[in-house]
Amino acid sequence: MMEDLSLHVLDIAENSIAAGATLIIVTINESRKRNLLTLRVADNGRGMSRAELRRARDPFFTTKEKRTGLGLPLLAQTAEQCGGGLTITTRPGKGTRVEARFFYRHIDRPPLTNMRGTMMALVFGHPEIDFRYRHRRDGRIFAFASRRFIPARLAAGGLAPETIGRVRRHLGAGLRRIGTT
Amino acid sequence: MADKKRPAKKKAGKKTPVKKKPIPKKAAAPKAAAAPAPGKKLTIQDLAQIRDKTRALLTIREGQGRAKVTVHMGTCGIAAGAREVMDALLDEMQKRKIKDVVVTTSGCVGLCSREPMATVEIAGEPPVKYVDMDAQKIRKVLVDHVLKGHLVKEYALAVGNEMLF
Repeated sequence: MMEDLSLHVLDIAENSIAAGATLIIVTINESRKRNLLTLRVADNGRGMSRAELRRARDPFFTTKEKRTGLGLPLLAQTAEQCGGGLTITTRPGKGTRVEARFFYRHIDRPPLTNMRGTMMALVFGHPEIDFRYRHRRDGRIFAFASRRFIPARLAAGGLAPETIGRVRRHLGAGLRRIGTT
Repeated sequence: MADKKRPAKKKAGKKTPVKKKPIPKKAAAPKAAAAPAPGKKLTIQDLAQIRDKTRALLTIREGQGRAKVTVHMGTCGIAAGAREVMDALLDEMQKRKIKDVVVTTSGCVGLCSREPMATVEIAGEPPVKYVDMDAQKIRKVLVDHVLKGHLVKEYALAVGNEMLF
């Protein structure tokens, strides 16, 4: 089982990568005032057909050659247990947007925990992809764009090792500033 | 192609000692190299050096570094701790200032019970699959296998390619 919501974000974004996206936008909105937490991953990948979308929450449906596809069903289940839900919007050839909503103070809501780790794994696992990340927490906002650190011409390789440390520090400092990790 | 070459030249320029700075420019235009800068002749060795450096940079840029490490990040891998494995790998790459190893992620390979998994591909050798990884193990794999060339038998599952699920 996924221990925290930032792992779900990583998992859903990996779907976007598998869908051939070149741009992935991660948006997190935490509002304690409205008792609401939303996670959103939007991409410009190949999207889903109507038939695929209909079965996207079925744990025994997958587009790959195996028997299970647990990522989206697990997130949907977690969201529903926390009084929220999951919305998938998609257009074939255009992209997909997955949004999960949770009651912020629901007793079963897993913690968000480690968005820095999630973004590090995404950005350095696929430096060729343009990752944007916007995290709003009670009115304070942290915004990140991978292209600021990894210009497109270097993305296929030849990254300076110092970039890893720079991005990690930048994410850490930005998330600390808005009161999270 | 011309677009790709430009940054490579800049890099090669940066890395060569200061007195050799003008060399990469000439390497790009061989005719100009025939007329050396005042007081400095371009030797065959210099040219070979430039060629090797530029070629190394180009292969990395084209995604064919000396080695590639793939951390499997399907839902199963992520749930089992692939993110921590990736984090440790990146940390070690940074600490050791490794430039010619490509790190990437991929999906589930159908062996969910042995996750987190990682695949090491070294240019010219068959890929090696490592299972039950954790932060410490991946550091050992990077140092022993990728850097020193010794396969870490106790963590390896098999040698060869898989079908990606």
